[in-house]
Amino acid sequence: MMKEKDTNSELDALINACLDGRLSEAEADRLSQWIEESSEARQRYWQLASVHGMIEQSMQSASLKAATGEEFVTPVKTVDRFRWSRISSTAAGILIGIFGASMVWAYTVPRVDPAQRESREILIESFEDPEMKFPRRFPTNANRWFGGMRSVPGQGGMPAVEGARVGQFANVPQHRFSDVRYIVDFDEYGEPSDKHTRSIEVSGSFFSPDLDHTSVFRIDVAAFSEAPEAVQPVWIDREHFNDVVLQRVGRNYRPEPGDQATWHEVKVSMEIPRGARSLVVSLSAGKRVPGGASSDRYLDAVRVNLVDTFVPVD
Amino acid sequence: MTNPKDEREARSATEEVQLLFVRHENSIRAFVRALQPTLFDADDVMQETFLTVSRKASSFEPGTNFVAWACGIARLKVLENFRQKKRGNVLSEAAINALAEDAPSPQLLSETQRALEACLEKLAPKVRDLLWRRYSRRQSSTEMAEAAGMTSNAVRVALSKARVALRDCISSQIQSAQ
Repeated sequence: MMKEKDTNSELDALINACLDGRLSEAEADRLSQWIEESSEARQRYWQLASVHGMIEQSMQSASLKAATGEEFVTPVKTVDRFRWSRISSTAAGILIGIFGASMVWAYTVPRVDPAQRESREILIESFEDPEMKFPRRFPTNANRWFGGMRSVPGQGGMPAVEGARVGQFANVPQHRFSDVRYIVDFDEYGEPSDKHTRSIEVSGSFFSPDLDHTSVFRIDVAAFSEAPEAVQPVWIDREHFNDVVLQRVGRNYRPEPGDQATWHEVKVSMEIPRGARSLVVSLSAGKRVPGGASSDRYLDAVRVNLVDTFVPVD
Repeated sequence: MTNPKDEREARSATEEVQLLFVRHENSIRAFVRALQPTLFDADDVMQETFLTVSRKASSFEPGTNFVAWACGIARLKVLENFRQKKRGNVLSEAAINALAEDAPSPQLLSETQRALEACLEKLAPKVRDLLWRRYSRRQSSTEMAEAAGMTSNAVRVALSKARVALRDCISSQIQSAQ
């Protein structure tokens, strides 16, 4: 009996860790195996996970609001917090946001001439997940953010561009720049036909409350023939970097004295050479001059579009 | 050339399933969040599910179980999302498939939702406040810890205990109703 109780406690602990997104890899393996092999484990998972899946809606009940003594606050993901996500470019796009307990959607305008230009939104990031982890190193794999950043709530003087949270760059006094990076793996998107050229469009909104305009914001994109896992050694080998990188474009934005302390959108586009496998997207914020004043700097509404354009053959 | 009558019927089928989706969103969302616990992954899956449900509207047979049909699509979207993210610290694809096979019936999900609302009111105010911060305000453990004057670890433990207490309360509510 005691053994069964211990087993159930261990299983509950693993399921709870899974629901909170804090399983280690070893724990994920153990829980997966347990679920695959035991119908009791599956039933126990569903009982606990159903609670997790339903609390959000239940939290909106009037009785609960009264019981907590809080004014009703619309769940954060609401009017001002709709979140954009990946939408297939070939479908008539439908945007869904959570609006209270229900969903609202709008139809995007169909593309004017898909035969000429097909644009796919392959990444939209507004740092809405408070538990988001940013390993502080150069990316070692695709489809994940790495670097000096954390998700923080938007503030009154700095409302988020999209959603309710923004990314805050790490403020390390001895470093001039902080950055976040993400690798796109072109293998996941197929080759464009011979009659198309492929390009990438990256945009992001930057903010700094400093009034003496000591900040500089930057987006940098670089294409490599290496697989995502193999880009890091190339990146750090500065002596041979220029021989290996296939294409690279960067753009700086320096707020000027006349500018308001507001969000500044920076955009970069670059043609992708054939044979490119990985694209490193870097977004940085820092001091205009070495040793300049430290300041909080933020990032929001990052978008990466993959654009295939039809090029008629003469 | 497309027959205008066919077009009208297709549009009507799409509108019909979209309305059903909104009506049964709570059950579908509970299913998705159980298989895809991370809030924002769940949002992505819900969005993709809605798109696919709309696109495949004509294959839904009116009168059959809409939640079961939509959850079947949601399950595939969870797996797609899982393959895209390629994270090491989540359930395996085989485990997700096994869970989807053993998913509770739509009727049980509805009963669970009703019981949950009653059970939430039985929790201590401090615990309800934590749940409200986590699930309604979507605060991180660190933010909740700051607000509640606790450590992040204590917040995580309290949330785990709250979920277990709710599960036990729901089970007893459902059993006593039978």
